[in-house]
Amino acid sequence: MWYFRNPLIVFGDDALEHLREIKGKRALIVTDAVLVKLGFVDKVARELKHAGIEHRVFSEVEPDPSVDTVRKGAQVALEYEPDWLIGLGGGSAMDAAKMIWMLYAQPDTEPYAIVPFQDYDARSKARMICIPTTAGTGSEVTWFMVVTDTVERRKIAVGTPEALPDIAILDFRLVGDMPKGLVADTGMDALTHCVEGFGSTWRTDFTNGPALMAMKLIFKYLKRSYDDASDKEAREHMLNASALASMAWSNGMAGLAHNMGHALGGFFHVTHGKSVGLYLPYNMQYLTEAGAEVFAEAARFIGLKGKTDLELTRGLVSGIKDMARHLGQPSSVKELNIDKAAYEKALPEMVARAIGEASTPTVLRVPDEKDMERMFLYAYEGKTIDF
Amino acid sequence: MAVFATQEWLDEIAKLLNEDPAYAEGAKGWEGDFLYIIEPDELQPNPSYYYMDLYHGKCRKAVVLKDPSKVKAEFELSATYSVWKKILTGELDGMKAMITRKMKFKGAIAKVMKDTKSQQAYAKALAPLKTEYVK
Ligand SMILES: [Fe+2]
Repeated sequence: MWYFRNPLIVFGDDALEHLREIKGKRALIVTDAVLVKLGFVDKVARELKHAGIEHRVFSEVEPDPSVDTVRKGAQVALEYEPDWLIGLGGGSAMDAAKMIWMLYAQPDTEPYAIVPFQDYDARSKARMICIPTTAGTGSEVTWFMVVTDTVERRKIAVGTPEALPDIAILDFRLVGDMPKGLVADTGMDALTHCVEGFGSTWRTDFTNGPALMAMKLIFKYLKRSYDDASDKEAREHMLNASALASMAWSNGMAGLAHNMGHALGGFFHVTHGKSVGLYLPYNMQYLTEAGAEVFAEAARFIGLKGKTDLELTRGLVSGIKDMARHLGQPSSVKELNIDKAAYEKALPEMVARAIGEASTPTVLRVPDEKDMERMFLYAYEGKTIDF
Repeated sequence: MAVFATQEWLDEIAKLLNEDPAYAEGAKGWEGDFLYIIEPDELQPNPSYYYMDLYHGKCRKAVVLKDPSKVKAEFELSATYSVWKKILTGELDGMKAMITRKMKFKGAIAKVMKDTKSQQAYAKALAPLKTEYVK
C-alpha cells in the first residue's frame, strides 16, 4: 500500500484569479520582505478582496527559515485565527507557511520534530494555498519542509502528509521577474528533484511519469529561461516542471545530492539549489553502474542517443554538467571559495548527517561512511568519481 | 536460528549488541527503552509483547512479556505479526509502514530522530541476525 498525494493545481494564464473562488473569512499570508516590496503581496491581497476574505501578512521569513521564525509566525496565526494560510514565495516562505500551519493547529509541536505518523489535525483550523514565485523548489506540491537549527548549524527536513497544501497556484507572471541567479539555483534544484525521484528505489508508476516529463521540460527550457527573462514560454514550462519534479520525489524519495547538499548548507552559506545541483553529477557517477538501466530510460526519453545503458547514463550525467556550466553554477566545492581546512573540519559531521538522512537507504547504491566521505572530497576537488 | 519474538531470539539480539564494540561506540549517547507489541493476525492468533532497554551502547534487558501493563516504556511500537515479518525480511520499508500507519509509534519521536548514529549502529550490529517465523 502506498499513496500519490497532490494538491489541486491551478496553472496558466491568470491562475492567481482562482483566489477569487475560495470561501473563507481570514487569510494569513506568509512571505518575505522582498516580495512585499515587489508588490506580489498586493497582487494576492487584491484577489482575496474579491473573495471577501480579510488578510494579514507575516513577512519575516528569511532565507533558510529558523525554528524561531516558524514559532513567531505560529504566534501570529494563533492571534489572528485565519481559516486559510497562504505561502507566497520560494521554498523558504512556503516551507515556513506549512510549518506555521502545523504549529497553529498544535502549538506544542517542535518544528524539527514534525513526523508523518502523528496527527496534527491541521485542517480543523485552516487550509493551505501555496503560490511559488521561483521555479525550482516545488514545495507547493509536497508535504515536506526544511527548517534550520541555527544553534547546531543544521538543516532538518521534516514532513507529514497533513502539510500537503490544498491548492498550488502556478501563475507564471510571478516568475517572470526572477533574476538569473535565482533561475539557475532553483532550476538546478528542480533538475535534482526529478533525477533523484526517478532514480529512487521508492519510485512508482505514479512518480515516474511526472519525473520524466519534468526532466524533458527542464532540458528543453531551463537554459532558455536563464538566457532570456522575456521568454515567457520557457518560464511557464519551468514553473510547471518544478511542480512535476517535486511530485516525483515527494511521493517517493529524494537522494544523495539532497543529503549532501543539506549537510553542506548547514555549515556553509550555500543556497539549497546550488549545493544539491553541485553534488548531483558526482552522485550520478557513483550510481552509474547500479542505476544504468533506470537512468538510460530517462536519457532516451529526453532524446539522448547511445548504444548501451551505460553510454546513455553517462550522456545524462554530461548533460547535467553541461546544464550547470551554462547556468554559471559551480562544478566543485572549491569553486565556491570554501576553505579546504574548514570543509575537512566539518567533514565527519557532514558525512554522518548525509548518511543519517531518511533517503540514504533508498538509493540504487547505498554508500557507507567511507564512500560518502570520498564523494564529499572528490566533489571538493572536482574529481570524477572512480569508485 | 531463533523464532521471531521468542526469548531465544531476544537473547541473540542482546548478545549481538553487547559484543559489538561499534555498537557500544555508536550508541553511547542513547538511553531509552522500547515496548514492542505484536498484534494478532492470521499468522499468529494471540498478541505478544517484548521489551528492550538500550542504554549507553549496551542492551540492559531484552525480554518477552506476558503482561505489557507491567512496564512503562518510553517508546512503543506496534504492528501485526505479518507487518513485523515483512519489515524484518526487508519486504516492507519501516518508514513506509509508519507513514501508512501499518506500524504505530508512541513516544517522543524527536529524541529518536536526533540520534541517527545509534540507529545506524543498531542496524549494523543486528545485520547478521537470522530470524525464523511461525508461518
Ligand atoms: Fe530540493
